[in-house]
Amino acid sequence: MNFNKIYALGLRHLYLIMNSFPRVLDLIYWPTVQIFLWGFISKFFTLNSEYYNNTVGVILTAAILYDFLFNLANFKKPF
Amino acid sequence: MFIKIRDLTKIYNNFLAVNKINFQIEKNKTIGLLGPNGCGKTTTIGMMLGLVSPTEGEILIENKSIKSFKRDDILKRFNFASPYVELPKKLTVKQNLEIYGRLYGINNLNERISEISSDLDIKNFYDRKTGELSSGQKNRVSLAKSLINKPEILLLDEPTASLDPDIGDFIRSYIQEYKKNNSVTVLLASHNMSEVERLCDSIIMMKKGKIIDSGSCQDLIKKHGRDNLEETFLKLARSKNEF
Repeated sequence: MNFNKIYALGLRHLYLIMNSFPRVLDLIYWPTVQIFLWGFISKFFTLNSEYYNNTVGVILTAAILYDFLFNLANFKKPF
Repeated sequence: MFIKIRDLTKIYNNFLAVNKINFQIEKNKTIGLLGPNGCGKTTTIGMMLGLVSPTEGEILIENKSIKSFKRDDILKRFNFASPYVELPKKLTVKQNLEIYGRLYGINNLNERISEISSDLDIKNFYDRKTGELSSGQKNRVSLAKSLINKPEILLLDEPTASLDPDIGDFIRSYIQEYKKNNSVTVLLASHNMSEVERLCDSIIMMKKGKIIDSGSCQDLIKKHGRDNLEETFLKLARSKNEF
């Protein structure tokens, strides 16, 4: 494993994001939308069902994490 | 011999792009790879870089097959520049050089970037995105990237294509100067005959995937009874015979 190469590729992604306001916005906007969306859904479930009470936190965290990673990895746009 | 190409062949589906070519390059020499469009120059360079797998044949570096080297070790000794392979457009010149420098594991990278940037006069557009540069500026950045690891083997695919005479001359002069001061073996594919005459110690002429002739510029001109390399190229490119 070559850490120089891993570091270089990480740096490339970082520079790519930092050089583009829409990419930074993508990283913040969609996870925020997800937090609100899943937050309200979770709130609804916790208020109306005891069964879902303990799982909503996990679902919410997974959804946000998925969305953040999806946006981070979405480099199909021309570079 | 530093580099030996033995029976190198590439077939794309049913199209024979490179047909059993054989040539060798001595250390620190510059070899010109000439031929009409589609004759297999870029495919040959691609195979030497390991980007295209040969259908047959082998590439030897210091009498060892390129396959016997670790890919990382062999890539450290090579580099490549072409106006047809763009660097990431959204990154600035400095960011591009930094990333490529790190990919090659260069020590004292900032010093090396500064040195090569001064040499190629690219410091004044250091912080501009590569996609916003003119062709001449892009070519200089591409050349800077190709020299960042001080390669032993430099593959140049039409390095001055679409450049004005001034920038073209700047790049040619720089390559000449760089060769004087560094140990580097160059394979230059070009359509610019004056460039080839100026930079190359000898020439390989390709046509339809085969090598049709080779030798020094003067020898080829004399052999084919022409006044200059351009006329020699035209004779070879238009003839139906092999030489």
